[in-house]
Amino acid sequence: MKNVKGKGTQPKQVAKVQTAAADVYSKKSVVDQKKYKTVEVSGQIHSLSRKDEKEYILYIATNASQIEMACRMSEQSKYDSYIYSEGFDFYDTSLDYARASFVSSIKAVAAILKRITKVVTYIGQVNSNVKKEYRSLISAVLKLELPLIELPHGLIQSGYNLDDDSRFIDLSSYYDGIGMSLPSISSMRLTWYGENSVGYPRSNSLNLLRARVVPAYTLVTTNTNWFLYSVEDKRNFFAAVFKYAEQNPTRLFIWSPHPAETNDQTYSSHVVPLRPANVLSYGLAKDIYFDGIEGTNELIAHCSEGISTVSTCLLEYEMFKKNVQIFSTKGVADVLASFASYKSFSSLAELSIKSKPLITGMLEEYSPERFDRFLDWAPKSDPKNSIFMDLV
Amino acid sequence: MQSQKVTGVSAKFGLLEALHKLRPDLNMDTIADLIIDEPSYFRDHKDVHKAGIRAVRHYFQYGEKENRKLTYPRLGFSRLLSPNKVTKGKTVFFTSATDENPSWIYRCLFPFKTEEFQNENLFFSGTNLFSHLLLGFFTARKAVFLRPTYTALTIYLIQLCRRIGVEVQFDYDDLLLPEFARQRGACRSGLRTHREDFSESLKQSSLALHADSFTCSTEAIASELRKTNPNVTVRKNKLPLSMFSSREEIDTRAKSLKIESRKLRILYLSGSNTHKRDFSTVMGPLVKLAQEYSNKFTITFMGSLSDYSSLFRTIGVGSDMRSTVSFDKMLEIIPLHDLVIVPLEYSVFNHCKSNIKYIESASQGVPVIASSVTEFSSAITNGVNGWLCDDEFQWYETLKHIVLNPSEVGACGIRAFEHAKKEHSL
Repeated sequence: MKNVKGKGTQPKQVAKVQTAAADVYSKKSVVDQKKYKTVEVSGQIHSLSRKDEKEYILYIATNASQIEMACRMSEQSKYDSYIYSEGFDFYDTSLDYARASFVSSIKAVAAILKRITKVVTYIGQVNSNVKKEYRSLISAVLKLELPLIELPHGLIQSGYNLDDDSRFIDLSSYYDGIGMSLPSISSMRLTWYGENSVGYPRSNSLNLLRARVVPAYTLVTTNTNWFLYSVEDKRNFFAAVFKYAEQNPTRLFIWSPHPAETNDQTYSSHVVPLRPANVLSYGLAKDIYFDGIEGTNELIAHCSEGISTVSTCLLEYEMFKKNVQIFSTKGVADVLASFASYKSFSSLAELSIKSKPLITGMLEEYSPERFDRFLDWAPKSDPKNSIFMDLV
Repeated sequence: MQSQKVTGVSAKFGLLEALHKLRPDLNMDTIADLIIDEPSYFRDHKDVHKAGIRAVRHYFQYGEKENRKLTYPRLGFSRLLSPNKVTKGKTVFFTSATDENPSWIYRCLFPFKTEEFQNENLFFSGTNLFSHLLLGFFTARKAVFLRPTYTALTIYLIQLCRRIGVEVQFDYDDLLLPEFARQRGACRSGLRTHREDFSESLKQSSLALHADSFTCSTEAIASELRKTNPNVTVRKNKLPLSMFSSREEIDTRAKSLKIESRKLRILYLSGSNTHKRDFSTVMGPLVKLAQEYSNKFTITFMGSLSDYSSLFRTIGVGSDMRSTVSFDKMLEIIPLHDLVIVPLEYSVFNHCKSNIKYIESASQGVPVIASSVTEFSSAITNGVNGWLCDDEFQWYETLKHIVLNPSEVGACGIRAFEHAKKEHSL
């Protein structure tokens, strides 16, 4: 893993986050479980003349993955933070992370927004697929000229590092592309690797990994909704993987799709009922679930090997040094070519060839100090950018 | 319908007269005011009003059979409105759950529906005619509400008890306080949201304001209830001796087990799907074990848990799914297996749970491996009359040990039987 050099010593917050997160992985005692009671709140009178000149950072997180990144980043930051995600139940999150405050409604955000001095977003482009509450908030942030700092939410995404050759521009389609990478409306754009990098926010997962008792399994991680995979590609992917599973009937394959793949009308959701008996859907309400392993990232940590489409989770395979077979198509050929070392497949025959560890060249260690310095430097937003946001 | 006949009340009397006979200290006009809201009844049934018949006469003679709408009178909760406390009479057990409900069986039927108490107790579960309930409650000295739910009928009956001097007791076999709603099985298993569970239990917990006393199944529940009312008695769940196998049956079974020459038969008695999350605590160890020792054991799932049998069959482990059966049938199925597993999440809610799965299994000479939550830890000595596991590592090691040393199961089952018969029987 590359190091992103940050000046100064490791702040105390880093040790704190590791302790807090490590607690998540240990068996909770009865006393700890008492925390599961309704939060007991105590009040105190503050001075009428109090002046608050502190910096407060608001993280806008539109899904669970972004919430996790925001939690990790805020936990290690020197600043006090709020994390907003509309309608999200933050209770379990609040037990795992000790520092940030949590906001679940735009109404509550409106009440505290005047206090906010900087805003972090994982979607720095105009995207009508994002809920209205987030779009309205970003528009307000732009008009208020608050510094708006953008980080990627995925390893490869339009608006960050991906151009495509589509002449259709449709952000809602699973089939049409977007064309040239979307322009940013933020006032500062940070990255996970390369220029303006703060590193990959989940890069400390290796240190936090807990030992688990799980069976041997091959993990199948997919996001076949992506427009870089044609309908034919989707068919070919599942044909190869399902036949491979049938050829290995004693092996377990655990399938962890991207959440959007479970939407109706997606090819993935249609093939779910057609999967072989040894291809198991992962989740509490599905074929198999290990208590406390909530998502793909931790499944990767414990798998024997992986089969994957091009996805952010490739960084997890790399981080945990897991062999992974990456589905290769014409659409992602250039993307794969940018990786330093990988094993790909486009057919059953190629899938049957032994896989090897992946080196993307994009995995950098997260630096909280560097992120905080970027926050210090972040310029004001351009209020004119709200015009673009208000169009949708 | 589980309504009970109230002895000594002749059918030739009208309900008012019958209730007055049961409680001569209450005159009939008072009783009428206690059992029907006449203005509401007349408003809802103008034909009755027009006919000039008293609401109480009409409803209990005709209206109840015609399924006419009835509004329970609002009686108030003040003890000042009540006569002296009733000191003689029956104990009435009431639940809106069905007669097959395990809580009802363990908390009310097993300990109190016995020959010894046959003239002392009345039992009302599920749906009952209002007139039958009234006859029951008017004979009562004490009313026990099992896991009371916030319904118009329950609220009315509590008010009625307070107005006629009957002691109100609530009985709980789970920690149902709203502050622990997040830990409840339905919420943890994704079947209900926290908001739903919290709102419901918040509402139901408000009823406890008018409980004179509480009984509950574990000390852990008692310690939480005592924070609001000191009058809490622990009454542990126990199984009637008549439901235990005989010692001869246990010995014969142990001799014929011969597990070394066949596969170990594991049983998971899930009960409801609300244990989905609990089961997930042992999913990893079990599937890993299945991969490593597929020819050493079989596993049966019983209840309404999601069907995991196909997963185990895929790995080559014999597995089947059996639907929920009656209590008696369940006791017949248990000894067809060698070992029962009881995985539970490590939470305050589960620490408050009783150990009935241990008792049921032990009653048939079958030992359990259980998560080391309080009540199981208090009953099981690890390796002696069962096994306890703190975490998934211990689950894996314990399962593996038993799968490789199945002969330990027989003696362990006998010791569990002896212990449960001595400590957890009625």
